[in-house]
Amino acid sequence: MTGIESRESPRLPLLRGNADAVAGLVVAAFGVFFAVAAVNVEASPFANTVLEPGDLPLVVAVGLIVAGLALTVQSVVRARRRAVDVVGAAAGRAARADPAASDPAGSGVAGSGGAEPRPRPDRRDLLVYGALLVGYVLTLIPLGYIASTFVFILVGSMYHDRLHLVRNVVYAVVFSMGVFVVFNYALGVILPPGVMGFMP
Amino acid sequence: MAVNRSAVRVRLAAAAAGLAVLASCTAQNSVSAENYPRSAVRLVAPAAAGGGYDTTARTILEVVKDDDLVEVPMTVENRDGADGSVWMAEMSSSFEGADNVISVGGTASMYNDVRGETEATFHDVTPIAALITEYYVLVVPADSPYDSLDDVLQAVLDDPQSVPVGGGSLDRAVFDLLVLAAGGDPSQTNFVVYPTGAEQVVGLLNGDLAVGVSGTPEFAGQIASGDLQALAVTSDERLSGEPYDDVPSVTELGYEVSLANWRCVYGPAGMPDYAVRYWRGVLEEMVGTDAWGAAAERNQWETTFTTGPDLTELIDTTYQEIEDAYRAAGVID
Amino acid sequence: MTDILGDLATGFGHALTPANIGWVLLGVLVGTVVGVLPGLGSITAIALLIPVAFGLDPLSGLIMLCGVYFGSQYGSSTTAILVQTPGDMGSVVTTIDGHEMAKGGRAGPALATAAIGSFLAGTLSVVALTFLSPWLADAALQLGAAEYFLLMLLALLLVSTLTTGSSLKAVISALIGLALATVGINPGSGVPRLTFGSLELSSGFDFALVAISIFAVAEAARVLSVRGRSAEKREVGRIWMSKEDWRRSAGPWGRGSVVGFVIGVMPGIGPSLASYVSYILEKTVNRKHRREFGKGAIEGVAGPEAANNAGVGGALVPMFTLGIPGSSTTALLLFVFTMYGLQPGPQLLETNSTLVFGIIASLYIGNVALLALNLPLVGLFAQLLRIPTPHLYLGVTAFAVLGVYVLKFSQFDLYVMIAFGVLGFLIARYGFSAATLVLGMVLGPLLEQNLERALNISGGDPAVFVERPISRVLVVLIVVVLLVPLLSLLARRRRDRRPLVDAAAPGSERAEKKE
Repeated sequence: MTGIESRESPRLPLLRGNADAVAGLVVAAFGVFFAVAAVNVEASPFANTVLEPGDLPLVVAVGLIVAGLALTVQSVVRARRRAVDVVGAAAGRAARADPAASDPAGSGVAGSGGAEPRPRPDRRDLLVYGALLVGYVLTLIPLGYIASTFVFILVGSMYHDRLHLVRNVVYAVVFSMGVFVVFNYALGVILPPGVMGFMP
Repeated sequence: MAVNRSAVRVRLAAAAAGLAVLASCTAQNSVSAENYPRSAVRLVAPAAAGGGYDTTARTILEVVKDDDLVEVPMTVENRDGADGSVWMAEMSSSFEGADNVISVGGTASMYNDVRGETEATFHDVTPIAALITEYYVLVVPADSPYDSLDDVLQAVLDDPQSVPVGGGSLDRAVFDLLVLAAGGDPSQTNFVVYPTGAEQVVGLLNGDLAVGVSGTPEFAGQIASGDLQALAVTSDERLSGEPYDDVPSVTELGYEVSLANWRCVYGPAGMPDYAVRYWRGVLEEMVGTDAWGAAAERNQWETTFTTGPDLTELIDTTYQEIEDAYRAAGVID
Repeated sequence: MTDILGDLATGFGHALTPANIGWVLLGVLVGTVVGVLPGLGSITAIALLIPVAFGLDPLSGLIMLCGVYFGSQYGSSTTAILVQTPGDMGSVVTTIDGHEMAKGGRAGPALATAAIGSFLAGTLSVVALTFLSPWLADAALQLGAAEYFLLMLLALLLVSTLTTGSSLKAVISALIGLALATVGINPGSGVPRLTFGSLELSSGFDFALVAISIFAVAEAARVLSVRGRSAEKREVGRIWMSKEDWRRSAGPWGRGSVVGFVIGVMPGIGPSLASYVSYILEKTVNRKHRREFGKGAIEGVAGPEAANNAGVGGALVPMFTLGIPGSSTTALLLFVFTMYGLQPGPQLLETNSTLVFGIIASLYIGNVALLALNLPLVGLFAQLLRIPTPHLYLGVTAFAVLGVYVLKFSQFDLYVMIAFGVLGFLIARYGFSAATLVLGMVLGPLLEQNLERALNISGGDPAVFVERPISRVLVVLIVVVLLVPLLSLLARRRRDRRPLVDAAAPGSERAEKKE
């Protein structure tokens, strides 16, 4: 989906800063992709099938394309109308101050309708969380539950709160060991032992 | 076709696995052979909790535990995915040569194999022993116009559309074979898929379906209560347990239909010999216990313990039967 | 009637032994704990305790497992409210208003209304189970595939009520859910769809996996990347419900109980739909506070939480009377019956009435135990919010990973989890709705399978959808649901022709007012 996104978000003046318009295009592009996939679904091998396996996916794909484009059109129209208001009714303060109007990356607040304005996520924090999670998932089986969970929680909590080393270590140890012990011994669910394979 | 191709691949794989076992069969392994098993063994049910494989796995575990047949801890692990095919692929690759994991398996995944949709078949893993056979039963609602298998098949011959038959996607093959045996065209049957036995019962009781076909355990309660009426079971002879003891078999009704539906225990590709021997022994002992006998009766399973060359033959025959059924219905050419 | 009372009295006699009370307590405790943990639902909890149950006599074992079932429904609301992660599918809609309440310092009342509502609904549903079972089971059998399809279609058309924002975005969210639901082998034909050759994808995306990732992972990513912003300051606030809270919860509790029970009785439809329908109902009937929905309306917690517990009681009706499980959890319970040598089926009530009524009696006891257990815990759970944010959400993530892993012990699923985490993050970030997506996913297969069945059975004749009176009523409802927004849009257009500002969406209006 990210590939589609990068292809579909040229900085057209109409789309600039209008996250909803871009989101609509991404959804429509996904719909096109899904439609192609749906058309390529094999037919049922049985002669008297009424509803073919590809039918519902195709309907959903068409729905996604229509709804995605509708979202784009709707938000572009609204952005324009807002711009007209700015000039016409001299009520420019509201629209100008709107982050959506000036900020291409984090936005959609005004257009997203009803959702409270949310603070923009810190990109570095987000990347760190993502990297930690990917690392955790990759090491869960090779390193084992205890080691990978310990590292995940310790590194994560140190990143956010480097002042409390002891507290973080205690938390990471108690969490990883506690869950492992409860699952392996009380519930009989074998979690990956990994480097702690010497435990009974 | 798919079978033949996979059979070749299989033989190659088996040869490779054999070599690998030979190569690794050094001092280290012969030591473990003597005091096997030493650590916990996982018994995998390649289905969600509550499904057929899960029931089999949990029953095995209970009986084995109750009769102290295995000294090490055993756990049931659910590894759902494509009727067991996903897990079988893992057993053929990731767990190659392992001796601490065994799995329940059965005919369900073989349908995927025959359609050529899987990465591993029974030829790529180590079958240990087939344990049970489950037969199919044809049922109609209590107020049905059909009183016998002949009635149903005649109605299907006259107008296939007018007889909606419900069953799981794999139960279709057996009904197709019956229609074929009666001289009809299986590709025209109005078969509607109901993934679970529960949904089939609802479909039969609310009037959507005229006929239901499924494994015998699915309908036992409703047959006993009289809500459903059993017309035939797909065994050669009548079954012994209630409520099926007075239901005619298809053979006795004059239809030559054979489609095995068994469940087995298998090990990973290249499972060491000592482990295979050990589990074969444990399972053979297990099926002889009273606890197993009682559990099998409750579940309408017929214990058909098969191992060694007989098991290999059973697997090959079953692949052939499924292929024939699919060809008859036009699923494969 | 007197028969039933007599049987019930005998049942209580068996269930009220000290040992059996102990098993009920253990069951509800384990159920609550597992329900609270994100990613571990009632099925996991029951599967884990089955080996324990086999060591007991049938009555003790079964009442323990039923306790687990009810307990997990109680517990699942806790994380939905506190960290916007449903503990089980039945609490997906609770995330909407429950979490908003918690953010506004009203975690206590939210947890309390969920617990009391669960108790009332749980008890009412057991009363209904005791006295109305045979009649209800017959009623449920009046619905065929055509009616189920129409019901699902109606539910799908109402999904946009789940959000306060753009209904177009709600529609898109639901469509994405439907799209995800079509991945995997199509049951009707056995054809793999949209799996791109992956065997792992052939059984489709697991609901639990998607729900865990799209809520827990996405929410943790969001919270952990906005640290230090004042908006995320969480306060525990007052613990107990105010008089106003009680007044506003009473109606939703009652309606949620009825709706949840009725939906639970229909085989194949789970508590997740029960709570969803209750939410729609509350939002529709509540004129006074409608604008609060989605921003912390207590009705949005009280109704759905009552409904999912009533749904559990409802799901036991087809199990006891027809011998068919209404949900995958009851399917697992039925397996336990067989393991004990009991033949689940319509005759179970006759042949084993002592056992059945013992279980039913234990459900009354279990509900009381759950209330007694959960009300004191409300304060404790609310204190969880005092855990430093990084620790709380890293823990939530770790539980999510654990929950996904123990579903199938699959590495592949863990990658899928990350993918859905990213999707969930984007969805929340750009004002789409995760709850709507999950409902689309739940409704998709039901919709398609019932459509397929209805059409196959009728030979492709669409008249099957207007043949019976019930389906005709449903068709009329669907038409009404489709027409109402259109008419109100027209009405609004006429009204709003004056100033241009008002013609903009209500959303942008509100955003502007804030500034």
